[in-house]
Amino acid sequence: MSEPLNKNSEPGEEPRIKLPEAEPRGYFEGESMTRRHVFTVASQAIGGVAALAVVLPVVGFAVAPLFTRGEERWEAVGPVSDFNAETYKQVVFTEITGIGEAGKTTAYIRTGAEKFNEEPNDVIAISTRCAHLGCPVRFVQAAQNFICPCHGGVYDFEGKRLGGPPVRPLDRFQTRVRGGQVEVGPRFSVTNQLKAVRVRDPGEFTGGIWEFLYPPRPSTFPPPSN
Amino acid sequence: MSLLKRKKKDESPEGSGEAEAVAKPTKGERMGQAKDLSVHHGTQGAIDVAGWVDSRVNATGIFTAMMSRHVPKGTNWFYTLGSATMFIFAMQAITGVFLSMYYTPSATQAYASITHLTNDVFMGEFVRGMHKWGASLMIILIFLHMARTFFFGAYKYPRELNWVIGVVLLILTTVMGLTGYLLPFDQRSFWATIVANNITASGPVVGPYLADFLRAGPDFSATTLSRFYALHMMVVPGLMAALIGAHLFFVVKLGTTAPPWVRAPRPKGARPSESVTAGVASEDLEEVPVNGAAAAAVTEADPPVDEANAAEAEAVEATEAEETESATATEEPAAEAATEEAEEEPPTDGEVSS
Amino acid sequence: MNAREKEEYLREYEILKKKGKPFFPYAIMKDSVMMLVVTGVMITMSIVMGAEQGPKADPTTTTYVPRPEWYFFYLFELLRVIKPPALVPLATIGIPTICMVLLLLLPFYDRGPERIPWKRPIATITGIMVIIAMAFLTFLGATAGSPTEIELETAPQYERGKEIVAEAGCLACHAIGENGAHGGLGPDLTDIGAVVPREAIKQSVAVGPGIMPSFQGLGEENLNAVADYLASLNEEH
Repeated sequence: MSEPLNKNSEPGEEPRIKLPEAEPRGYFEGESMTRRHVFTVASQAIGGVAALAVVLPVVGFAVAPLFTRGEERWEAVGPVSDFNAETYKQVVFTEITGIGEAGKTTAYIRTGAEKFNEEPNDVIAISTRCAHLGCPVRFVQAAQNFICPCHGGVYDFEGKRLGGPPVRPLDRFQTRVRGGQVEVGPRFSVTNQLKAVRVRDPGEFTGGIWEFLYPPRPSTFPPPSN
Repeated sequence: MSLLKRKKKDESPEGSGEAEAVAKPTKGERMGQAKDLSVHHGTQGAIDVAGWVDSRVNATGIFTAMMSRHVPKGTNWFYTLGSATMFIFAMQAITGVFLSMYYTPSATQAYASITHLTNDVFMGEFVRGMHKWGASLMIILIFLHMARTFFFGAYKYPRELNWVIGVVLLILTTVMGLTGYLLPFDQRSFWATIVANNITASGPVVGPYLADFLRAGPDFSATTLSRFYALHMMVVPGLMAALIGAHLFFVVKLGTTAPPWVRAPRPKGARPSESVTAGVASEDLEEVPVNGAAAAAVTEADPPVDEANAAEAEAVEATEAEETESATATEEPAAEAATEEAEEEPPTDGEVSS
Repeated sequence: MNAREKEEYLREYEILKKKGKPFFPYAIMKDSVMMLVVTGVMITMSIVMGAEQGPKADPTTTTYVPRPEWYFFYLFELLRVIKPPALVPLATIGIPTICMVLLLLLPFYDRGPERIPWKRPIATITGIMVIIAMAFLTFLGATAGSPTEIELETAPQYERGKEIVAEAGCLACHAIGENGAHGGLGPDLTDIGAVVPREAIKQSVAVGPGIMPSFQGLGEENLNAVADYLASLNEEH
C-alpha cells in the first residue's frame, strides 16, 4: 500500500500524504529518537510512582480489616443451672462491639447430653445463623429441630443438616464456665461430623478439599482444639 | 474583535470556530450538521456571551456534533429507553444527594435518621419515595433498554464495545440497588445485605476475602454501614457517571442504530448485485469507487472510523485504503484501473440521499 | 461479520443516517416525552406508595422472614429451588457468574451480520426464553410464602396439627396447597389424607421412612395432632 504513495511524491517535493511509519507522531525537526525514548520511559515511570504513592496507601487502608483480628471477648449469659440437656435456651449477647443493638446475636444453649456422647459439663451454644446464606434460624420445640425461613433449611437437634440447601451444620460458639456462669466466646464452624474447624461464612462447605477452597481468613479466630 | 468574529462567522456558516472553519472546511459536514447552525447565531445584537466562550473553546462544534447529528430514519419509541435510563440516573443522583443531607451512616443512628427524614422533614417521605421507586424504575428501564438492544441486534459491529459498557453499567446498577438497600437499616435491608454478602463469600478462594472487604471484617461491624454508604454515594456512582459518559460518547461517534428492518434503498447508478455478491475482501477494495457516492459518504461522514482504536483495525484499514484510492484516482487520472471505475461514479451525495 | 459485511453495513447505515433527522429537536422530542412519563410514574409511585420504613434491623431475631427487593426475586427463587447442598455454590456464584460472562461477551460470539429479530431465530428465541424464565422465577419468588406458614384453610379442630406441621419444617421438603417445596424432596401433601390412612401417616412421621427424618421428638400428643391434620387433607377442602 505504501509503494504507490511513495511513487507519487517526486524527490525534493513534499510528500502528499505523510506516512505514519516514516515519522513518529509529533515528530519535530532535529528530534533524537533516543531522547524521545528516555522521555517516554521517564514520564511513565514518574507518573506511575506518583499514582502508586496515592493508590497503595488508600487500598491498604481499605483492605486493612481483612488482616485485623478483633479482640477475643467472652460474655456471661447466665448461671449453669439455667441450662439443661433436654432443650435449648435462647440467649442474646453482644458479638460485635461498638454498634449497639446491631452487634448482638442470638445463640441456643444447652448442656451436654449422653446420647450424643457429650460430657454433662459441656455447654453447647448453637448459632442462629443459617449455614446456607445466614438467615436467622429458629429452634422449633415441637419438632426438636431448627428451621430456616429463607430457603427452607432444616437442622436436627444437634444442628446437623436434615434437609434443604444448607451446606454444613449450624455454627457454634466456644463456651466455658467461670464462677458458675456460662460464658460465650468466639464463633466456630463444624464439619458434618461436628468436628470443630475455623469459622467461615454461610454457604461455605467444611472439611475435605473445601478447607483449601475456602482458605483461612486472618480476621477470624482459630477453632477450639477438639 | 467582535466585528471580525462576526464577519468570519458570516463567511463560514458551519461556524465550528474561526480557525477550524477555515482549515478544515469538511469538519462541519462530517459531523452531519452543516446547515442548522445559522440558527445559533441569530442573537447578534445582544452581548454575545455564547459567542465569546465559543470562540475560545469551540463549544458550538461539540454541541453540534452531539445535537445536530442525524438519527437514522425509522427510529421509534424504543429508542427513548436509553435516554430515559440516563435521565432516571440523574434523578437518583439529585434525590440521593439531598437525602444524604439528613442521613447518618452509623449502625446506631441510621435507622433514627431515616425515621426523622421520613416523618419530620418537609416532603421527606416524598423525596425518599422518589429515590426508592426511582431505583425500581431504573432497573426496569435498563432491562428494557438492554432487551431493545438485544432484539434489534444493535450490539453488533461496530457497537460491541458499547454493549460491554452497557452490561457493566447494568451490573453497577444492581450493585447500587444492593448497597443502597442496607442504608435505611430496617429488618428487610439488614437481612438482605447479610444474605448478599454471604452469597459473595460462597465463591471459592476469593469469595471469603471479598466478603471481608465488603463488610470491613469477618462480621457485620461498625464500619460496614459507612463502607456501603461510601460505595453507594461515591465509588459506584462515580464509576457509573464515567461509564455513562463513555457510553454516550460511543453513541455520538457511532450513531444511533436504525431498526434492523429499515433498509436503505439502493443508490441509483450503483450496481447493488455486485456490491452485495462480491465475495473476497481484496476485490472489495478495488470495487469501492463503483459505489463511489456511498463509499465517499462512509469516508467523509464517518471520521469516527478513521480515528477509532485498535478494535476496529480492520475497518480502519479498509477506510484508509478507500481514501488512498480515491485520492489517487482524482489526482492522477492516468492511474490504471482506477480511471475506468472513476468514470462510473455517481456524481453527488445529493443524489444518493434524495 | 467479515470485512465486506462490515463495510456494507457502514455504507447502508450512512445512507439511512443521511435520510434521518437531526437528533435535536426531533429525536429529543420523543426522549423528553419519555422522561416526562418516567418522572410522572416515579412521582405517582412515591405519592401513592410512599416510603415505608420497616422495623429496625435486629440481628437477634429468630422469627423474621427475610425477603430481597423484587428485582432480586429470581436469584432468591433460584437459591430456593436448588436444594442439594452440593449445588449451592452453583446457585449462589456459578449460574449468575456464567450468565453475566455470557451477557458481557455476547457481541464476541454472536458475530453474524443479521440484525432482524425474526431472521436470527436462535438469538431471539434464547432471549425470549431468558425473559420468560426470569419472569417466572420472579413470580415464584414473589409469591413464595414462609416455610412456616400454611395458607390452606382447615377445620378448627385441626388448627393445632396445622401449626405443628408448619413450625416443624415439613414444608422444607413437602408442599401443602400453595406453600412449601413444590417438586421438593418429599411428596406433595395437599391431598395426602385421600391417599394414605391416618395410622400410616402417623407411623411415617414418627419413623421417617427413607431420607425423611424422624419426628419422634414431637411427642405422642403432637404426633396425633399432626396425623389428624394430615389425614384431614383431601380433595374436599
